[in-house]
Amino acid sequence: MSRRFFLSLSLHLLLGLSCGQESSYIYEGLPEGISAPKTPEENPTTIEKVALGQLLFNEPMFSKNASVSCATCHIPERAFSEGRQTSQGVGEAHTKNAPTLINVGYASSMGWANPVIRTLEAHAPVPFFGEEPVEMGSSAERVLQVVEKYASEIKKAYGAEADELSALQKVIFALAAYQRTLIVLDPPLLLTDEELQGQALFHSDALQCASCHIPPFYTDAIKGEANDARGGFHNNGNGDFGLFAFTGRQEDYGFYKTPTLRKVGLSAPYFHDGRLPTLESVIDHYAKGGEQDAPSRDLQDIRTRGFSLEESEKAALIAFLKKL
Amino acid sequence: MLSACGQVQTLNFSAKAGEQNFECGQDLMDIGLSSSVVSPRDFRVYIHDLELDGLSLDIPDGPFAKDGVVLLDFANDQGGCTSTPETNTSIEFRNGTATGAFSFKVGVPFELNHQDVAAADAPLNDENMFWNWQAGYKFLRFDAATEGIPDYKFHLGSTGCEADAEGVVTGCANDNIQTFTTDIDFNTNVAVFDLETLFGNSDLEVDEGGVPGCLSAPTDPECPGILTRIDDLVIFE
Repeated sequence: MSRRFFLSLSLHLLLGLSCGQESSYIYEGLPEGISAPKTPEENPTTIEKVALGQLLFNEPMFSKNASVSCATCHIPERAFSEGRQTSQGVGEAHTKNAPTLINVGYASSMGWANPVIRTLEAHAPVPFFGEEPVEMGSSAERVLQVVEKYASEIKKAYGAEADELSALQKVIFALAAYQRTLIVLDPPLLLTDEELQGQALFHSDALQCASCHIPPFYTDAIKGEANDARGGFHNNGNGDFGLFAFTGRQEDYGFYKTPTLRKVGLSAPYFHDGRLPTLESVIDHYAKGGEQDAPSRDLQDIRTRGFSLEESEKAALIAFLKKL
Repeated sequence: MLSACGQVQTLNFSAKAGEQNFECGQDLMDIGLSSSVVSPRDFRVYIHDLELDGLSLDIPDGPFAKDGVVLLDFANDQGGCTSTPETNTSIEFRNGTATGAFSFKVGVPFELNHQDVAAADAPLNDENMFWNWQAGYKFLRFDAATEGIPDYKFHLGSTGCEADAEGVVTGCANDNIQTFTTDIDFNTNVAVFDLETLFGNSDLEVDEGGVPGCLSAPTDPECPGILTRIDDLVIFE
């Protein structure tokens, strides 16, 4: 795991002061040319808000029966993914795999195939209150209880502004601020010969992995780069509904957002439904050109039509992926 | 029923299934193609653009009304229902006459439909009426239990919406806002949401795909039977 990943909450100590008592969060060490994640004007990132957000991220009191927190399905040690094929939340089966939250502050949209929810602030009500399926089963009452529990931290985070915010805003803003600090952008360094071979394969014309998984984010679904419903979404031969479930347009069938490959070695299983248990199985999927009987084969991205790899090459590619 | 009382008049709404009143704790009998016994769980509807003879009704803001958007709430939290404790089945307004051409729309106007629910005022601040993954409101939510489907849902709202890079919704393929119009005598007429008609072409015991019931997706097998009846959702008695 990278230095930045571990230190994301401690590298902010170079601070500037905002107009209130809160201290602006400084994103230190971003690669040249990469700015801090864009934030809504009403929710600037502050140290106090990030600290509150981390507490709230791990707070199960939000959920029905106080049994599930955000961290239940987005486990920090698993790069904020879950390790399960699909999530269960408070008990109702989800059809999707809990994706990593690494670099989520840069993401062009939230979730696997939703073209409308494009900010962390807009996304938070989905796990809180969503009914299809129920994830946390939260309620306005639950949110109020949490706000009361963290009254002191909320006062530090929002100061006088707290009076102007609803209980839900106080929670959502802090959660979003915290998640924007989950950044991994270090270039893969000190690569072994095998990893270098894997890197070359990753960028090769034969495999074309990097055409969608574009460094340094290792995805093309990045805010500012993918502004329309189809940008950052691809049909990779998975044979499932994808954007079609949202838009109802046949041409959107099978389109899912390109996930980041940062910390991909920690975020198994893979794909939107967690169908592939290992990186090897993911490579096998692309090597064979996707699901041969997928109903949306005619919509499949031309870059995912298959390739051939020696076992040693596959091992090299996996070795490189685990360095991201 | 609307009655003239000085400047303030009251328009009453009701929810029925044929001759049966919608009431929490009271099963509705003989609904849909399988003559289902339906146990109500929730029934709430947003309406707006209430007009009489082309003039907007002047509806005071309150817990169930804001900027001309009204939440009708036919369910409480009793008898198996899961709505809020309070109900709202009437609207008071400060202008208008007792008779005329009356119209209203089921839904939330586009400019309010995709706002931040966390910052919204009542009655648009109810998370249970916000369709988070569609970034808009549930214009109508009817939840119930039948023998075959214990968690039957019909949620009406705009679908197929698109947003700009910042998440501002720019349009929806299906707005699913429905207008109801009638010549009315408020002294004798009541606006009735008729569930018997709405589900008359649906089997509430069978789920053939998607979420049990219908969440307004044209691709959900249970939706066409309901959505083609939406024109007849409201009758004036």
